[in-house]
Amino acid sequence: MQLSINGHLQNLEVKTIEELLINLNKKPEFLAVAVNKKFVAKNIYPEYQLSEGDHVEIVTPHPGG
Amino acid sequence: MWNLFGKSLKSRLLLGTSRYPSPEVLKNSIAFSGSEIITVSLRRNSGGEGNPFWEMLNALKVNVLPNTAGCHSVEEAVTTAQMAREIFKTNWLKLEVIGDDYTLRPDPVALVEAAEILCKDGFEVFPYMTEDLVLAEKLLEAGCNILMPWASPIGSGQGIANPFALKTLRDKFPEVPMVVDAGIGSPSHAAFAMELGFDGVLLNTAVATSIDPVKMARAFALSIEGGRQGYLSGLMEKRDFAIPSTPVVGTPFWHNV
Repeated sequence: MQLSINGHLQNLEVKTIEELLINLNKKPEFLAVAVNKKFVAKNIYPEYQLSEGDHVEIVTPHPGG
Repeated sequence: MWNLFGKSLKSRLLLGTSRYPSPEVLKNSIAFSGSEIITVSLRRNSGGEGNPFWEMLNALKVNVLPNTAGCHSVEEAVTTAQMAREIFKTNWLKLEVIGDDYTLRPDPVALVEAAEILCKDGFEVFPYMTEDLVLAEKLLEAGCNILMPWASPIGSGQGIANPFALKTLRDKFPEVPMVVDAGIGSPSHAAFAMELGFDGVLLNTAVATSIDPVKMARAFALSIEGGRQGYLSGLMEKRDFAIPSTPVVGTPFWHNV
């Protein structure tokens, strides 16, 4: 399935957000996720079904003013 | 000491964490500033495991105020706020909805709309706003319990561009906590904001991009404390003429023509 991950198109064999994060080797502890500009809470990563063409944003704490 | 949403705070300086020359300088700047509220952001994750920045801030035991910097719409700001609440485990939020990229001037219409949604969702919204009186009223109606008017555009170092408007805002809502946010370039700017009666000052660039950020952080802490004490002491009224401070009576050679 083709997904946009933080603005980059990638072809990945994943079905859920949980699978996506494992595939990308990212620990959920320091991350938050939005799909198509909607927030997705951590507790539903295992059941959230991704769809072809979804825009996924994966963010992490960063310095800010 | 002042109280903000259940937190008892000694410092009235809110410090940003961006643009420091190194994590070590950032850490020492926070320590020397005495600041107890630190702003943070969310950005796209590019690495793998861990987050040294967040681990360092966690160790400092300060209150974090996540921002929605860079958001240009209500939807972006609301989603960023929800992600921030989950990661940082706080309902505090510095709400930024930018309307103009050149001046980083907030979009007042989107700001009010986003504030209303977020306040209803349980956030304590710290809105980054212009010093507009009517906008302030709308944000309070939307559920905000604090206001953060700018001094001048973010990162400009211009200081307080419109002291009359800020003073008017302060006087109109004396009970509302207000923090001057953005545009502060020097400790004297911060002191001036405090002398106008504001409850605190939020700044970043003036400390982070100075030659010695740790020393500058301390300078801001002192100026903010000085400005606050000046405000509480009651500043004298300005006059258009001179009045000698030394008594005239008894001046040697007075009327001794």
